[in-house]
Amino acid sequence: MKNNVVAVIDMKAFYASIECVERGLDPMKALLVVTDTTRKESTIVLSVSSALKKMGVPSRCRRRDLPNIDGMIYAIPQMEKYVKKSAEIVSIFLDFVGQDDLHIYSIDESFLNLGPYLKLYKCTPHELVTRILNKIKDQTGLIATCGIGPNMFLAKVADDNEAKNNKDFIAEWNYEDVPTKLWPLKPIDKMWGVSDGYSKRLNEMGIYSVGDLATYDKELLIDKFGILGEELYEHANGRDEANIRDKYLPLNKGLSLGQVLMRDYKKEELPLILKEMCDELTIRLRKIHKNCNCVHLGIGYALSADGGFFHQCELLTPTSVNSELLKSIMYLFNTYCEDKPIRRVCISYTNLKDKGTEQLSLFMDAKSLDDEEEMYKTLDEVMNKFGKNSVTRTSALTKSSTIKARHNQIGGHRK
Amino acid sequence: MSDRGMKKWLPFASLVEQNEYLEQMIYEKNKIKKPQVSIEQARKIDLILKEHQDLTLNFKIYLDGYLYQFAGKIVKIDLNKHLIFFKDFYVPIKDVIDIDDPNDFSDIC
Repeated sequence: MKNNVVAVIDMKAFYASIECVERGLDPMKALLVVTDTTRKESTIVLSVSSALKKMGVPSRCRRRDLPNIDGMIYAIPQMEKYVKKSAEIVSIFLDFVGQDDLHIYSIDESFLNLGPYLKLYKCTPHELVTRILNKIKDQTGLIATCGIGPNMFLAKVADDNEAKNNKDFIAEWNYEDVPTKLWPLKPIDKMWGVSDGYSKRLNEMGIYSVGDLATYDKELLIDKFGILGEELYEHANGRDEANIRDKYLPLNKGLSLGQVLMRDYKKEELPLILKEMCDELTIRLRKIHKNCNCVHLGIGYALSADGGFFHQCELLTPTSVNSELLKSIMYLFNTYCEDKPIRRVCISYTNLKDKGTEQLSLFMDAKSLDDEEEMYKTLDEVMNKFGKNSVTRTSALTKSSTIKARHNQIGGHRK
Repeated sequence: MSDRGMKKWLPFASLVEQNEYLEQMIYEKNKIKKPQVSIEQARKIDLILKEHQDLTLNFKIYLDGYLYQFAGKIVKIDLNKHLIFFKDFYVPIKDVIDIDDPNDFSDIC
């Protein structure tokens, strides 16, 4: 582990840069924001170009918070394009390293384990990264920043704090740089892994910079924060034992789906929305070949009414048939929902069981449930082949339906 | 030191769709070119197909960028459509890369 080399590559203003390249503009100079102009003022700004960031525009804000700047371009989000571009960039990484040595951290950020490849390419980490960044620039026109370090943590902190200020957007930190580069970082939340809440609590303990944290009493930190206290201490000293090759796969504990409605919905309109969301989530459930044994329903009322609820209910037998799952959701809805305007809905399935053996129930008609599941599976196949809007319930044509609009979205933004 | 390891670097997977596109990209990327079948190999395939007679044979086929291996009994060979029929599926003859008769040791000696 001592001589390992890890690089983290992060796309600069990813969505905004893609829009710039598409319009033939220089992603470093153009004044462009990605936000859905067809939505209301309070909609989120997805991405802000580098030039605007330099002018002091916050990188995460709402459209009404944007300052008035001459010549600013508004781009409507095209999520599908961004996700495809992201896959294209990952494909470039895979030209250089194997799949085991790559860790995809988010849509525009990946960790690469370069250690084993330096001998193969006969170059320094800096040269190898330059080659990767150049290839990204040639192939996609996008600009990336990169942090290099002996472990994932130092690479990430180098990328976050130094890379964007360097000329070639590459920052290389080693263990020797910890006292000179890591420790002066101030305020403490510049360090990866320290949130606002932690930052406040650390400040109360008299810790204001990473250096303070690194020289603090380790036992006291453990007392106060538990395992995370030890982790903070180790990080502040530049140590991180994580190995990219140990893939950590979280167990598939549950599936969930939520949406914020575009206007206040009445209680009578909700069953339709629930039906559509149930259909949508059950498709995902069948895709991973699981049955669900517990459904949750969460409802948030509009600001004027305030509040909401989150309840769960156990099923008699695990199932992946839409109608059975919908029954439980409707039961929860009818029992707990009050007559107030509704703005947020979320459903989730947990307690997932493998398909295969099943305990039959005397109260259910196993044959008809089987038939129904076959029918839904066939529908899944049709949707897979011809797109999700090819088959919908007739109710999708009614005014309160959101399903067609949602099918044209990725992550709640335009496809 | 009790490190959480890769757990702490768990991606914030807010986009379920990202994985679908990544899987597809990797599937496309790992595709290989169809291997060339040498004349000798073609002759061997031809010979085995002519005299297979209800034997379980080992097949190597090329399908959509990937090589697959399986063992099976030929039910029928359609010479007009150039298809080999097995019990519940069929394979075009041009996709067959290699056939081995597990009882034939002639190529070893």
